[in-house]
Amino acid sequence: MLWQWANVNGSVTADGGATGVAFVGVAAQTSGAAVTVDGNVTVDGTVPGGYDTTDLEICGVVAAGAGSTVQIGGAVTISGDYRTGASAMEGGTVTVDGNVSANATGAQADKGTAVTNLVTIKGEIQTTGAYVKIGGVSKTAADGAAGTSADAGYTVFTVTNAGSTHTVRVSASGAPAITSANHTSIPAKGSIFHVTATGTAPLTYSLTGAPDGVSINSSTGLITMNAAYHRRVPIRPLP
Amino acid sequence: MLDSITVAGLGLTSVGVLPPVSKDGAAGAWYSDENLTTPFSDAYVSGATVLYSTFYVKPPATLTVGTGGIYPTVADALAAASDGDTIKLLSDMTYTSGITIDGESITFDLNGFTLDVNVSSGTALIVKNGGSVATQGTGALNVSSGVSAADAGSIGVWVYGASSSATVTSATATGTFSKAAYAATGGTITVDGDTTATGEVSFGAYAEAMTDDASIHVGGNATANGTGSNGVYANGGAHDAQITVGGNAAATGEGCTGAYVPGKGTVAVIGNVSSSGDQCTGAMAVG
Repeated sequence: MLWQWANVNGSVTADGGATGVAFVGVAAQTSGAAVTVDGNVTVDGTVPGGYDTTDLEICGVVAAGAGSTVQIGGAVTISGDYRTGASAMEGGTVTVDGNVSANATGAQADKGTAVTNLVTIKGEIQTTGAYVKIGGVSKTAADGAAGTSADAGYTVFTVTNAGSTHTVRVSASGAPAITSANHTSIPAKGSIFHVTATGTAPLTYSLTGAPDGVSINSSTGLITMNAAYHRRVPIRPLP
Repeated sequence: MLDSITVAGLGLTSVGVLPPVSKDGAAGAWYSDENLTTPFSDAYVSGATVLYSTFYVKPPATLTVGTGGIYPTVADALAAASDGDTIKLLSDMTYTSGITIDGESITFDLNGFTLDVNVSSGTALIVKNGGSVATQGTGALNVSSGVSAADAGSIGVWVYGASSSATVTSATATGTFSKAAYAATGGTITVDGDTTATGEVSFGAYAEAMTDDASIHVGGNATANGTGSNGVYANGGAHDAQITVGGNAAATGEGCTGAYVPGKGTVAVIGNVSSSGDQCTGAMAVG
């Protein structure tokens, strides 16, 4: 069991108010700490006075410490100046299923000796500042490399410093992509054609050029066909 | 053998008609040595000879309190109740002295009524040393302590000691370092509704597990208002501090935190977590 753990099925909001500051939306600090949020994280306010505005811990969500994890099922939205959306440090791992929006830096991975810091953003980064920072160095979206293997579908930014690996990976375009295989044969009766895709949640599925009797569940991607119209037709699912 | 006897005793206007009794008391459980605990030195026997100068009468397992009840006040009922008894409300009642249940199990049959336990400071309800307070039926058992910031350390419900537990409908505390619901070292608290704490460094729900596990379940919202306040706060040492919130966890005030796990512990919030104020934090797990 984890030593420190918090789970929020809804959203997390930290609101410093119009003239106030918000420290951090979600934080898992020290070894083994974990926070999961199924909904969105919203932080509003400036960085507290006296704090280094580049401090990794002054951010929307942060995992700091060996084995510390932050899992956000929704989006991370930061309204305020000089703040980073998602940070991983000292061996932390952050995963955001939705978009990350922040004024200063979208996401960053840094700090620690012989540790792995990983930020994964399955949606898009939206920022007017640095797209990502790895090992303290700013990178633009164009600086990333196409991921392979476990990183397939992501644009990956990584650097190794002092035995530590700092990685930020962002969904390649933020646009959805179909991951299920094509079906070119006539399916047997009772077979299931379930379209799967990656992209920013929630995904909506639709069909173009679908013949009569063929439909797709907009939420699940499950394609169904009325037997009365059973014949070979081209179908192109669009997530 | 007498057909019946009627006893009027100390603190009671009547306990009704007792079953037949013989001189040695062997005829009814009311008079067996192991069950008879409450003496009535001025008891009398109606229409017959007094058998004993002192009668011992075990209160019924269900003690009615309020309008038309055996006991006119909650204090009377609590004084008469013993382990395993049920106190049944017959009207809405307010009790302002605080309740301590030490090692006994007491059930409040709310019976459609409300019992408000309100104290101006200190703790409204303490359950300790393996004791328990449970509720049954519709109605409400609300606990509240403190009225101003000066009422430091106010606690709505405080449960500690192995296998100690309490169930209430709502818990409120006001004052610096106040805790609406406070479970420590083996204590378990269930709040069917909301917990609300107001004051500097106050806590909507506070679970502390330094030498034994402690847990709190809040069915509604857990809220704290004040500088450095925490909606929920699970702080374990070598043991687990657990808090679950069926609604939202919220805190307002400078440096406040909606959900905070500073030591070994877990927090699960079904609804949302929010914090509002200078240097506030939404949800944090940190050792």
